[in-house]
Amino acid sequence: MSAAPGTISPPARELKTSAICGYLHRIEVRSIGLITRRRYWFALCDSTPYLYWYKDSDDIKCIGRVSLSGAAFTYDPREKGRFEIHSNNEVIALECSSDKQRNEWMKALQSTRKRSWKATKSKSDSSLDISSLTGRNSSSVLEECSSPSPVPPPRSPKPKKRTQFLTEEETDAETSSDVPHSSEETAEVVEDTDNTKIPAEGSATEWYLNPNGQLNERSLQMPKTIESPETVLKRLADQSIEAPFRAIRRNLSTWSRSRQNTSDEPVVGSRKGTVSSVDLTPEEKVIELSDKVSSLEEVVDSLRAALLLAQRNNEALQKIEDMGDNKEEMREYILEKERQVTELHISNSMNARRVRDLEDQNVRLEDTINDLQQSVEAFRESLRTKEELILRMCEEENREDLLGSISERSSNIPADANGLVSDVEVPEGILVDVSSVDCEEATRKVLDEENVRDIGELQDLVEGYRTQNQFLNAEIVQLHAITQSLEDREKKLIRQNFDLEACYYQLKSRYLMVLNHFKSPTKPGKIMEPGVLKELLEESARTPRESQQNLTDQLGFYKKDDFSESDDLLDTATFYMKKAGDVVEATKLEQSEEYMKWLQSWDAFLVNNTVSRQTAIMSSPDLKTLIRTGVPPAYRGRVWKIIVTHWVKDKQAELGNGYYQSMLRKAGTKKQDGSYDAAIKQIDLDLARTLPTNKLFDEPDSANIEKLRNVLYAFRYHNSHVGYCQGLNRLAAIALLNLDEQDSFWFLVACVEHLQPEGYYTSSLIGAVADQKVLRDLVAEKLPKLAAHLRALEVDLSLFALSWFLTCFVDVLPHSIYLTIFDAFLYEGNKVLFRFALALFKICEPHVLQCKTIGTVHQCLSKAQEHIIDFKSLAQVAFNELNPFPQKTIETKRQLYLTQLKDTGHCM
Amino acid sequence: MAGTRDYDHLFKLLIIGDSGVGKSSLLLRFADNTFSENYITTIGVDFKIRTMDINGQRVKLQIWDTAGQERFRTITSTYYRGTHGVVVVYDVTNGESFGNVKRWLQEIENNCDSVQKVLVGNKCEENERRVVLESDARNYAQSMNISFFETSAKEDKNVEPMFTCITSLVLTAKLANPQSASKDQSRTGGVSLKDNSGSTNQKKKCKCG
Repeated sequence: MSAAPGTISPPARELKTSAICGYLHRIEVRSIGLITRRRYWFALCDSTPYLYWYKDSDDIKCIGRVSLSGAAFTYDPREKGRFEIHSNNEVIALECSSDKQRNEWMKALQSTRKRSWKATKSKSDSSLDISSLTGRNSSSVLEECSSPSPVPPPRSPKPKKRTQFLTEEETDAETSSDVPHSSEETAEVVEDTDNTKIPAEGSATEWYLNPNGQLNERSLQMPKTIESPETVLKRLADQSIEAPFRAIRRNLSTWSRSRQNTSDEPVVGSRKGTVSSVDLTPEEKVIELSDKVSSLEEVVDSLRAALLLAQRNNEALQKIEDMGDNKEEMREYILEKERQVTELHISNSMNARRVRDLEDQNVRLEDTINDLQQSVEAFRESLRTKEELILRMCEEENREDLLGSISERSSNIPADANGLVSDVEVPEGILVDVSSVDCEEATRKVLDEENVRDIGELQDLVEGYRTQNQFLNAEIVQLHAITQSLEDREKKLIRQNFDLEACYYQLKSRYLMVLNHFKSPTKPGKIMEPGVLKELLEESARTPRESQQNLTDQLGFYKKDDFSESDDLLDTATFYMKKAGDVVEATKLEQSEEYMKWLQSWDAFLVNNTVSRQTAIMSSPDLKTLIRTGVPPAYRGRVWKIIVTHWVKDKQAELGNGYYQSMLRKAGTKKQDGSYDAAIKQIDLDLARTLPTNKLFDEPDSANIEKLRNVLYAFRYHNSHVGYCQGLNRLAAIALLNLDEQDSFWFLVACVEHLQPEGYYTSSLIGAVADQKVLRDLVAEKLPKLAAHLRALEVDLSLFALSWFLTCFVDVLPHSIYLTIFDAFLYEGNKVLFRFALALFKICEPHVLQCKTIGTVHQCLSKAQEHIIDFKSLAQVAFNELNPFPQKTIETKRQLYLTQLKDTGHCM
Repeated sequence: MAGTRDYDHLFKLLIIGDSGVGKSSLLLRFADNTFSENYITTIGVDFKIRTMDINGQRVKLQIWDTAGQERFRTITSTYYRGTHGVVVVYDVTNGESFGNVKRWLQEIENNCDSVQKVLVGNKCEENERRVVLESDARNYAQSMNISFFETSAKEDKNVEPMFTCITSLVLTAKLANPQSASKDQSRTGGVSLKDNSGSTNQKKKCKCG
């Protein structure tokens, strides 16, 4: 039990969070077998499911990190302050200075894992909504498939059959004397039935789905040939010649069957029929008639089915004629649908991958559970061993009791001897008795002390094991819950995958059918189901509309979509192809290793800064380097708040909590008084003219307009010397995109009173004017050719650059770029604006040098953003190519020009 | 040199007036023939070019749009140099902006030796919210001996005639005064250093006086 060397800072536990930090030792076993104990600064906070460790408490770069999602924690109470984290087949052994500290860390780790798991669960639930939408779509598609297509009204040939139906109905009412006539008609109808049975059978195989809604085995086969109505009509015409002969034959055969006569010879049948008709009794006639009625009913059903089929054939023929004219359009639609099939295939692959990942997770969790079970088993064995020890100790105590009783007996004997001896020699007896008693007591004390010590140790050990048992029980319960959730999620994903596969195969079969039809258009018999094309067209028309709902990006800026809703399908296809390419490229970027490392760097900084709150972190050169690469959009709000707080924390402490609210109340009071205030009037005027390209600011009733008013009003009364200057509206608006109202107010305070030099936004703009002169000097120094060219054309740089400096390039460059400039400006201050202004001039220099007039120079620089590819290239120029870039030079020049301007009364 | 240019005259026009009266809208309507409800505040100065024909002569206009907030006047004063014509804009729905026209005219006198001026009342399509009567503004313009127009950048009313008028005034003044024409050429072309320093000295004198 060795104590950790050196000073150990106690863990800094924050209120309402499980954030914890402190120095711990990490124990690593090298391949050689050496065991190393290294001291690191460990930090854990509630915003990320990772435990980070750093070399020192004020570092922003982490030495390493471990994921706590799905991690398992365990420790052995016999090892003081030591515990293990099992995560992703990796074991990290850590050591605290005390068991108490270890318990705190274990609780914090469990809490973090639980929270991250809840977050994951809520995400998976939201993805369930998506899958349920998919389910609805697929079910609606199935319903559309299963529902029969509407039957158009019959054509002119159909009334003929209807007349026949009426005639058949009248047959029942007529007397037996008309039987031969009705027999003839029956024979004719039967002929039709025979002819149309074949197409009926063929059409049945065209359905993809069984009545159950499952895919038919034959769904991918091409349908059998369907006879065209024209062919049927021809056959009908031919039958009219042969009708009488066939009718007679059918009639005779029917009668013979009713008699169950097995004779096949027509002559014999004819004779018997004639004879039997004469001899038939009324009862027998009734039976014959009922048989005829039932057979006629069957014929009617068949005819109705045939009628439906014929109508569908007509519809198919019409479709073919229409398709003949629009084959190119059909091909384009088919290509479009083929792409959709491909996309479904891709998403199917992604889901399969997801399932595989989940299976891997399950395997890992099972390994973890096995390890835990082994630990529990070992613990139980230890308990059993210790119980045996305790039993032995109890037995020993019993023996001691026996010894005690023996000693009592021996003490009795001396008493008797003492009585006897007292009669002869009293002093000798007394001495002997006293000494024996002392020996016995001493023996007892020794034994008792040993017992006490052993029992104490055992009790401590038992207590430790009991604590560990409780911890491991909680651990098992939590891991079991995690495993259960993973299994549930896996099942849901599998189900979702099946649904997607079903949709995919369904679409595939449809498009294959259409493609096969177009491959062989000359074959006369190949006719598609009438409703299929209609449904495919409807689906293709349905898809693009949904994507048009996203008109803005995450921050609310309107997207510039070049897509004009033209009816030309090729243009539409080209547009969506390009869009898909952009999405794929963005996805690749976000999944690249470099990008992931970048995100991890920011996460590591945020964790340590949030938890340990070392002031030294904010002046770390590593942080400066990191900020110059830009802040990820997901972290920008938190980083900006940290930096702003860093600048204004002294002022906040001085002015107290609720200062922003008090400024707002002051503004309200002043407004109610009705006193004239030029600044307030100007603010109201400029609210509707701030960030017009953003949905949150583009209308007087937009979401952020009221907040913007509040922030600017509060600032006006916080800093009466500045009040309001045009340009501050843009700074405040940018803040509101990433921060809440109060933090946006402090953002504005930081910009005006800490990051920009003195007098930048005051009534004379003297600071800004001085900086324009400094910029002119820097351009002459860094870009002499450009400076000479502009001087020759009598171009004043402040025409362009003044607004750059007053707004930090807001609405000068695309928002994705100026937000990144803001990241650096917030941290480094005004100097950054010179860097980026010069970088802009440098990038535009080749174009400006070709301009011959002030007008073209203005046009060129006004559209400077067209020459900026991305922030990375701009930053490369700003922070590297323009070096050296000393702050002192800028400050010296600024002071010089400020003095000049003040001396001349700021009149040029 | 005249042969190499695509214009006969190059004139610089300046648009001034209170913030929010529609200076940028007027410029956009005249230069690009467009109007947008989504404007951003002009910070510093904006700049557009358009060429037009006046009596058979091609005139190229540099039109400078300025920030209206008062604290930017110390900045925009540098833009008066070399200006030939100034458009003073007020808002017919904003009495204060008309009341400030006097100060803007004084600003012109402080910064320019000799310049053509026109008074413009914008947003004349807002009849229901009108607070500045046309007759009052016209009388004031007459008393100040400057041209007057009411315009609507939104509905493209009177914008082209207004700019045509100020351009004609500038052209007429230039043709009537060839000596100042040579000075203007030297200013815009930057050919003679001596003339520049001379004009600078003159300006300083005027300000001191």
